Amino acid sequence: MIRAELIGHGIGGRLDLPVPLSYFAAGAAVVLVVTFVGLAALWPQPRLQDGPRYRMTDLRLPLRWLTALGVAGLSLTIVAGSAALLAGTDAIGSRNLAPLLLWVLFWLVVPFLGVAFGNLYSMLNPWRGLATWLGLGERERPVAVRSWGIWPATAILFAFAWLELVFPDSATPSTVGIAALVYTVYLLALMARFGRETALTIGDAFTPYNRLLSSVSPWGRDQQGRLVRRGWLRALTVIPEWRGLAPFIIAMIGTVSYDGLSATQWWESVTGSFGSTMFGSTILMVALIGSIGAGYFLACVVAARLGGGNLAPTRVAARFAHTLVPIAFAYAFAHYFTLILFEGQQVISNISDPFGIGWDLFGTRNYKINFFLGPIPVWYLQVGTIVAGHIAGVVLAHDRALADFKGLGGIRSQYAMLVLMVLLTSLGLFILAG
Amino acid sequence: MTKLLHSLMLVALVVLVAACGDGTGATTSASTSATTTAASTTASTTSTTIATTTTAATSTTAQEVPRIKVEDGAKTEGLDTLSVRVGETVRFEVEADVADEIHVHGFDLHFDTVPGEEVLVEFVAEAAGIFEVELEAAGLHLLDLEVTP
Repeated sequence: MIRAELIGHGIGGRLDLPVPLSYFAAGAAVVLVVTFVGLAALWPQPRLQDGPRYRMTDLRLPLRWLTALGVAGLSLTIVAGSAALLAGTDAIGSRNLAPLLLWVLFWLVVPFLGVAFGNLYSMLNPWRGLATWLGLGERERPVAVRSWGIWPATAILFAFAWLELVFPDSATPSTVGIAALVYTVYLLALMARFGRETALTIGDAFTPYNRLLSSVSPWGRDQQGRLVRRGWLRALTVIPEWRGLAPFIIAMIGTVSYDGLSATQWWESVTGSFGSTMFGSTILMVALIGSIGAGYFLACVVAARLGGGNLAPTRVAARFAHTLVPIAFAYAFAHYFTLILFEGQQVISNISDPFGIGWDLFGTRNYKINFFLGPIPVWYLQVGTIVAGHIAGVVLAHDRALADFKGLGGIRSQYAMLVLMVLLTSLGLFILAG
Repeated sequence: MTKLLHSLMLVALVVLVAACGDGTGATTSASTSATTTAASTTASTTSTTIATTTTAATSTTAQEVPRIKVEDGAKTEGLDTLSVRVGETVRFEVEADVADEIHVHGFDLHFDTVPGEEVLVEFVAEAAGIFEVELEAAGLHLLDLEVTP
């Protein structure tokens, strides 16, 4: 029912069966009940707004080794991409480690693990490691954060998603290798110009991406790498309100929605041949992100009106952006976790022949994917994740509304926001039902 | 006064929605197993309808094996979706005018094609999902294999 055109095309070529209607209906029903119960019956005082409650542990993380691992991964991606070009094995679906490293490990596994275990990327970040060793960007210019916010990172995130979802050769080893190389040059230059941490905040899509997702996690760490407990969702409420924060999160949701929607038969019948061209799909992806953004802004306008406070809609948009993070995660996870579980197993076979030139380093090159999870548990997990993401979003929005608006204004301000969340969640379920 | 009215309205709304929600929830969970089978049956019927536009017999139980023809780098004949149940045997023939390789993604099976000859692709579908079948070097999408539980 669903056509594979996307990274699945190069990485695996397997897609999930559509979620049956009954699962869809049950999920939607739970979402509605939770939303309205949440609106009225949740706590009357803000609970999460004081941010993380740190409790130190004695566990120290091996920061140096993790950074070295990140640099090794980046180097291997570039080398494997180049090797494919040299060996003449550069094609979609050919055996090579580079596409898996980028599209599965770096783009999905690291951020998803971060949601449970804390920000892995901040420790693995190969570019920070490289810049430190090269002595680049010692002097920070934090004023750039104030003027640019994370708008450049938002543009990069979009470009990256475009490469993944629109560019036809996204899964060839050379594309991946070149992209990694170009990105390395770009980010090192940016670090040299603005300072390491400043550049990572404003211009590295993966720094805010991983930071936002891992703020859901109850685990953090301090500068020295000591593991810290902080409570679920609490770090999200103190995410800095950088400029462009809301657009960044909207782009996260919009690109995954595009990936899912564009694979449905409905989408194919509506967009026709226009949607299958590179130009057409670019326009459609922009339009989808734009519509979700417009929906969010509209909800913020209504919230500002009904809330009765003195907050401008743009301020409301910034104040509530973090409440969409669990929904963004739920979208991505529901959409991609079977790709990780199944196609991710290709790492086992490809690591024996990382450049696709016939090696068998570890004797695993003939490993075949084990589809160990049937569709029914997959459906439960997908719908469950979407519903859980929705609940977390409702809770966060409720808590923030109590803090930002006085009295009943807090609840009133949520009418439109909750409608938006229900719509987004239904869209997520609709995509799964294909 | 307005506050009280407001909260009363809210409570009423919650009760109403909760009632509706529970109703649907109960009915759906009760009929889940039935609908699941129904869903997969509909799925296979739809794919058969798609298939019938090209070849007459597409049902896997029929004797006739679905055939796909490739000429000048394009698919000129054959079904778009083949539906089977997990554990059933997938069977189709490919006649291509080039020497290439038929790649069944996911199961990761490869079958060589010889110009002008019909190649029989035959294997047991052991996992559920939708799998792409491609003519590998040409990058030509041959069909989607839909394996339902």
